[in-house]
Amino acid sequence: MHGDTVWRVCVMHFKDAADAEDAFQETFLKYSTHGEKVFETDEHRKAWLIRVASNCCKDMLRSEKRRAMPIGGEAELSEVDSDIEHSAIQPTEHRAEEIIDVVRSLSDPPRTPVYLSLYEGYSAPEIAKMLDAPVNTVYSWISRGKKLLREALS
Amino acid sequence: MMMDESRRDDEAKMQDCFGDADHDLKALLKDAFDSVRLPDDVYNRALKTVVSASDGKSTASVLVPSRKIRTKSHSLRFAYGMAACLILALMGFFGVNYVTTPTAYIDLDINPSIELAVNRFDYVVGVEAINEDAQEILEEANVIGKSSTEAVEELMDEIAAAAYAPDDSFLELSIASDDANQASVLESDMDAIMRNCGYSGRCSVVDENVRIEAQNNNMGMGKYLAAQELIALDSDVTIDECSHMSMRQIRDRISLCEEQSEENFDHVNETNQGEGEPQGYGGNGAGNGNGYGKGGNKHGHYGMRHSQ
Repeated sequence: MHGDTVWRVCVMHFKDAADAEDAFQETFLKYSTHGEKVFETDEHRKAWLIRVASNCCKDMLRSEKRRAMPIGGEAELSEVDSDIEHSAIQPTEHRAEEIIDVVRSLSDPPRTPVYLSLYEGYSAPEIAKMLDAPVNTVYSWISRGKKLLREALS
Repeated sequence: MMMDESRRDDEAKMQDCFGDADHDLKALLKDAFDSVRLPDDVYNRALKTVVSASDGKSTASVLVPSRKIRTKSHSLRFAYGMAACLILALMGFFGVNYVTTPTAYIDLDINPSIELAVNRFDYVVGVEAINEDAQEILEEANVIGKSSTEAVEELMDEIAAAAYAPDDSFLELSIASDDANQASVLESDMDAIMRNCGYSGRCSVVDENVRIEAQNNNMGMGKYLAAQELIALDSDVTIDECSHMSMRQIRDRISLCEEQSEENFDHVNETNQGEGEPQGYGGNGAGNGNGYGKGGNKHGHYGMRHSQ
């Protein structure tokens, strides 16, 4: 029941459908090697998947940056990045794409904490546990993130 | 995550963070992200990847490539192995059984005889060598996680490469499913393969009971029905003998029996002209209208356009 959840996390990080799909598959392949770990509840499983998906996306983004950085030079967009992207969001959902673009424009953090709080409804302690961060830091991220979103969306 | 005193404090802090003005923000995000749903094609490709990865083999050839060119550092790694059922529980809206349970079976009978178990999305979730020759084929072909048409085409390539199927081979593709719609779709898909494969052959939908009987006799569905047909024409033939024959051999024997029956019938008619009771020959099978199969076998089509 968590395919949509994982997909949304990937879409939140990647505008391009192919990148989102790579991250999506990577997440479930990581789950496949999770072995015998037993999740206490389905919510526990969902939280684990969100965390792994988020980490997969960040790893991919870091890798893209490293690939684009010539030795001793400024970071540039690679040829791959300059390709016309195929959006991960349905073409009819223009308004949704605009809003999600604004979310993507945030640095991370606060992007992921704000998403988990505003959309997924997690509390700050829950987010702190998922992201392995101090709870007060999470409050600070959420507060800053909401401010940035309000400014961008207005 | 349990409610406790500290959580109530945290809830209060969150309320401070939010306030009424943030409800609009939440609503905007909810509308935006609610419209983001896992696409079917993404789901299906991930399913293929995961099911193939469960074999512990590289699935690079299975993955439908993304539009962008991937560098090695960006490519997916497939060196994971696990029971596919664990991961499939998380795919989309469906539970484990919904995705991994076979809902249809496709038997290829040439010699060798191979059975594919296919799920409701027409992807292969299981494969079985019905006879020994099929073992060799399956050792070369990795069809788990592929679409049914890809799998059948790959198996036929391997069968041809292994020199099991000379040009005059007869290919029987049989489909069994409790889902009439799926059976119809698969029949259409297999029919298309049949038209392009270059062999004589037949594609048909059969009853689930036929599959069970065929399994009991270590035969594919199509071969089992053909064997029954031959035995009805020639009672000296045993089911065990048929299991060791190729489809071409069985079909040739059936044709021979039918020709002999027609000759006998003609002879009897000539002999009985004006002599009273005709002896007849009491044949069955050949005179039931469709010429092939009996009992629950919906006749697909006979690939005469491919016969030599």
